[in-house]
Amino acid sequence: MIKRKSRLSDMNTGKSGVILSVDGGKKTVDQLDSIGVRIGAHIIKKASLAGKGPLVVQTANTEVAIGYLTARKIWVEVD
Amino acid sequence: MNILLMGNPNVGKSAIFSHLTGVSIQTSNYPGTTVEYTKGSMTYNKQKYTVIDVPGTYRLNPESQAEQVATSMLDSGDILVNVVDATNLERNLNLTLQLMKYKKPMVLVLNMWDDALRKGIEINVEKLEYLLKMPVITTNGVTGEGVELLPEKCITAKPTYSPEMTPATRWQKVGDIVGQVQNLSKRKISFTEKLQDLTIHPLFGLPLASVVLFVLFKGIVFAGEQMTQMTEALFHRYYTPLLLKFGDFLGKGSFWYEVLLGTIGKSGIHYESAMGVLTTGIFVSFGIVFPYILLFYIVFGFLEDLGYLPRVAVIMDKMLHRIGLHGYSVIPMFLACGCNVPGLMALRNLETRRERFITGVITCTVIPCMAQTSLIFKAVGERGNVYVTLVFLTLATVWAVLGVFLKHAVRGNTPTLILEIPPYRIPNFKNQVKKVWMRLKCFMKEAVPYVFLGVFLMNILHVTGVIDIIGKALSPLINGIFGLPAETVGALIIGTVRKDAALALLLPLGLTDIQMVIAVVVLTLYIPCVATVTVLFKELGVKDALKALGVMFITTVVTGGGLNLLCRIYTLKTVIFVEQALAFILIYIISSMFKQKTDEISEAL
Repeated sequence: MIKRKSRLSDMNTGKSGVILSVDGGKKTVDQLDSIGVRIGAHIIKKASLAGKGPLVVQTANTEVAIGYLTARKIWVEVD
Repeated sequence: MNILLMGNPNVGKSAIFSHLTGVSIQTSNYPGTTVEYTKGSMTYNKQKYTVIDVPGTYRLNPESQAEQVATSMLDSGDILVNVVDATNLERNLNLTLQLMKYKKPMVLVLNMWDDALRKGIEINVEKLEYLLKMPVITTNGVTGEGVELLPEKCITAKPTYSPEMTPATRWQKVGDIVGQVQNLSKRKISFTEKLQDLTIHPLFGLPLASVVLFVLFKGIVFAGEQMTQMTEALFHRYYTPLLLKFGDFLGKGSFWYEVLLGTIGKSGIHYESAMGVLTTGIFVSFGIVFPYILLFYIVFGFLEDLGYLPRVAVIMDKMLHRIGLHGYSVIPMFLACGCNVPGLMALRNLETRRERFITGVITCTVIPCMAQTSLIFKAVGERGNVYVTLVFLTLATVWAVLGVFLKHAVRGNTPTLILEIPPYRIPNFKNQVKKVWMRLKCFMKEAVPYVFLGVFLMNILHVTGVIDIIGKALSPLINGIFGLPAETVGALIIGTVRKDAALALLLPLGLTDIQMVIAVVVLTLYIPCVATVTVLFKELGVKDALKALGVMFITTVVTGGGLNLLCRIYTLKTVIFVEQALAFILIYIISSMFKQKTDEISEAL
């Protein structure tokens, strides 16, 4: 099966995948990393608020809200 | 010997601390409840140990002030107790490995063990002890189960070590450990998990939050009104006879009679207008404010422990970005609805100076504490709902216009939201009662004496004639701009001590409906009470706090003057519409005047 690469912000709600890269600066990458949103982590997109609002992902057993602009910088290989 | 309780935010460190030391501190279900460390002590085998509850942190290269406190305390710890959320082992062990590089004796506490079992998460404790080379215990922070084993484990713990690693290597090691010790079994999705998804739903989340918050607010106001009527009846039945006897003892007309009891007519004591420390002072605190405070903290404590607040933060994020903030700023603002002081202290969880400044200014200026809110309903509500609407609509308008102005005027960046959302947890009844009691105790200790002081000072200023002198001096502002009588100067002065006492001083002045609305708005917006100002200086620093006070003063003059002008030109109902139209025009002008130089930090990174 061919897997598709997508920005986290563009991924459909309910879909899951593995984080391939995070394009943000060191501060953002570190902050996301410490909370479990890191390269190689398996995530499920749980919700995405309208009007480019934040989205919610689940990784391991943690739900994390991520602002839209940061989510645009996270690339995911969609399952 | 110092024992440090460390771990990720919202894993139950404060609950463990309370069980270990017997010191009661507040716990909640959202990250960032503890912003300052708390010290307590425990005795084991006749030896005393200092236990320190450290603010939660995800990492040891922290960004927020609360996380900096955690990191800076590490050197002072002799034994580290790493409290871990057992339902989230993977993320929590990342910090464990970072703590291990300090070569200190460590104990791992798998807290929320009951939750983990309920979620079908099994952890092999013996194997985890072997892999991490440290004692591991399982606890339930809410009930205290398992905490009794902790003192012995602390004393017998040996130094443990893990070398410095890159984040990727550390996660790999965490993954190896978790893979060896954790077993997940499949189970049905619970009702609370379904509710979790619904409350952040793109379509239903915002309407649901609006309905929930509106119903709770209306519920508090309705129940508060009923309770104040009951307390007033109780005052007249049991307290009045005592005061009248005391009045006879003091002798009518004496100095202490005037100060303690105030003006008592032939028809009996009119508590709202008597202006004595033991009449109006006591009545404002316990007859009017106390019922609202009690109700607010019951409702707020429930929402806190349930885990609803971070969800409101997510839902409000987009809207708050329009005023230069992100969703987490909702939490200081929510806390401020009870009392501005804890609201300001929660600013420490915000990362940038810009966020702290904007949230601090908006919180102090626009958000009335519950004591103020109760008096607003007392002073304005009796005159009709349209006046209450005008007061709160004006405050909401100032919130929006001031926010947009500050967003453009304050230099710096606002990072985008990255926030852990805790699962819903059914609040523990005992914990709820304890929390409400602690907050009420704080209100009695910190607020009530200031109400007495305010009423006492007012009497002194009145008796000495100082109030008339200041009233004349400030007449151009009070009368000329706000359209209020000179007597309101007393309330404005006392407002710097305590806002609810100041609002109570407006009651006997015989203000017209419009004057009452303007006076209430002016009192809410201008310089906050002394306790809030003190914390404002502590949290923002002298320079920023002075700037904040300047903004508040200008906002008050513009809003009070504008409202007075509008009320003179238009009818009341038209004012409400004109005000909103003006707000939109102002927001447009401000946005056009300033070129948007700063916004989302992500764009710059």
